[in-house]
Amino acid sequence: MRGRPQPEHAPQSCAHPVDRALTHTSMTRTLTLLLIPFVLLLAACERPAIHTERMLAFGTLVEVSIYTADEDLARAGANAVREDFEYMHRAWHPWQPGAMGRTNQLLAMEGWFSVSPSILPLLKLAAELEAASDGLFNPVMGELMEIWGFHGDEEPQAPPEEERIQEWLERAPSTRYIELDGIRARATRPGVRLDPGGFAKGYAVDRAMERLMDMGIDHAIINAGGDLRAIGQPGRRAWRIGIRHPDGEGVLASLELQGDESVYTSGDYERYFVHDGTRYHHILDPRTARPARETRSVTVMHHDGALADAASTALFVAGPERLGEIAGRMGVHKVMLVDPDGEVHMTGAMAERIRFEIDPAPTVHIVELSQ
Amino acid sequence: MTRADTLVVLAAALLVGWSYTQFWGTLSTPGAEVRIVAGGEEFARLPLNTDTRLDVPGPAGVTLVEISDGAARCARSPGAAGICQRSGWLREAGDMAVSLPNRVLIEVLGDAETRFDSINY
Amino acid sequence: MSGLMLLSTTREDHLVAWLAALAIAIHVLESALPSPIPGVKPGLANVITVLALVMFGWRVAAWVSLLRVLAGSLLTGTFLSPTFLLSLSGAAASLAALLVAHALVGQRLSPLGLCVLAAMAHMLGQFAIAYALIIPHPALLNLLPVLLSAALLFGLVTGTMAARIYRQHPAVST
Repeated sequence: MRGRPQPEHAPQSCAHPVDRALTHTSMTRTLTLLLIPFVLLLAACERPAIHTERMLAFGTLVEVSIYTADEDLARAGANAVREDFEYMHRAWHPWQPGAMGRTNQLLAMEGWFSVSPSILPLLKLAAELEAASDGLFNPVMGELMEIWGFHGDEEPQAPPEEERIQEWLERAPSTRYIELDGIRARATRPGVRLDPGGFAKGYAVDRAMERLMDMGIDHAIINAGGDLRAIGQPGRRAWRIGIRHPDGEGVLASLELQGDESVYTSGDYERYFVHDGTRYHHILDPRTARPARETRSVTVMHHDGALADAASTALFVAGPERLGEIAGRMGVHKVMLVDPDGEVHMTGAMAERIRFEIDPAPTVHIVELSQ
Repeated sequence: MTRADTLVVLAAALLVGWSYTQFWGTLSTPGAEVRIVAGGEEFARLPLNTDTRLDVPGPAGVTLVEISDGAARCARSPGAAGICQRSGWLREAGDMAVSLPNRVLIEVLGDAETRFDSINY
Repeated sequence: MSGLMLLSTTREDHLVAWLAALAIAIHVLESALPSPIPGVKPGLANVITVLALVMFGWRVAAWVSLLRVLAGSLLTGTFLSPTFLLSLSGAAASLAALLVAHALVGQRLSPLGLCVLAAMAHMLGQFAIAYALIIPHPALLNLLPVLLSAALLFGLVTGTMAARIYRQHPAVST
């Protein structure tokens, strides 16, 4: 053998080099050594991952993230959410033909009618939420949204005339002016028109998440604009959620979700227009019939999506002054509000969970919940 | 490990490093794709490295998607507020622009290295 | 007895047969594994080639390597397919690199260094053939860094294994 010196310790007496090289025990050891990487590689297959699907539904951007090793299941889940949302969007559209549009036509006639079974639970829920929020969340502002032009997909160009606002304020629509008798209902005043925008999305997210759970999906996020619900967790860590800074695209704060939790944010940046240098956004105060002025954004954590959705709207209108009072009335304990100066008002329970992602962190005022 | 081994491993490592500087930078662009969703359906899936312009019809009119220099943007869209156009050039995985009135979603595909699983806005 | 039956086998033939059988078994096992990126395989059969080289010399190594590719492809049903072509070009390149290195520096390279060398040469040879004959597309070049990284990593892994086995059974005379 060229260039290969004879090693001194090689057993020259050994009759057969093959026997020496591949004796039974060393053979086993060799094979074991060789097999280890296969086991490791096989174990690495079929690893679960987060599958994210984005879609436009319910007039907003919907993001469905599903953590699973089964890609087909993730796709089926996202499609199920899309179908559900498209169905609910059609059924609950406030004026287009559909169960909700028909209900609004019948309410406008102020006579008794039978409420569609898909609308009845929403109607009851709406009345409860309005009462709990001391009227700051008003689910029958459909007409006012139209007066302002926030009802369609297009942003309005200018605020409405003062007379139309005053007219609406005089009628002061409320679910108190809807009489319910079993499955029958009637409006006792003109101008009562359901606008499911403030709470139906939360209800829809909850229904869609139930659908995913029925399909056997244990770890998922459904995020419909500012309406987010998460279940489970992606692997060993928790779901990480960023909360948008009301001033821009950046992230103000983050949250780690523990199991089944919902996070709802209402902000003045979602829909707005600028007219003569003044900014008008879409969260209207039912007491003034104008955009609420004391708040930039509100984030609420609660397990009930519809309640969290309505509470985020009501607390936005309530502003920092009445934050503790209304949150206490509505039974939401984790609340954060950003005021026009960029200062943060939040409950102690929320402060324990929030981590600010901006430097320097904003000034924080801890708010006591009143019972 | 002998000194010759060390040399071989070092040379191999240098070769690997060199291959990254030489060939890696070009991967992100040719590999990246932009997905355009109109209504509920995927309308098109285009590579970001081929300059093109595409009209995407929707309920409110036509959204013009432009791809140039490895990035895509919403060049024209019927929304009066111009929210779709304001998203600017979409380059990184996860970047997106949305026209709600025209029901058009433009997003750059790929695994976005984000710190958050979802953004609440 | 016909003349054919009188064909005598040498000790080296037995050795080659033993080692080739082991290499073929590993080759077949590996081809059954799913691969995250096409072309990325641990290359454990290289352990046998390298050990054959340092323990029994270049002739045994060359036989084991070529027999492994031939019989391995026959067993996995890829004989004369593109996979076989890639396998052959990789084996030829790594064998060439091993022989040159062994002739030049001899024992100064341990099985670890030889395995890294073999793995890198294997990948480069395979890639060159793939790029030249099968998919001459520039996008393939983008894969090269990943492939080379994997080759280096697997070269170190197989090299460590070869070095450990070699330590237990140092060179023997033939």
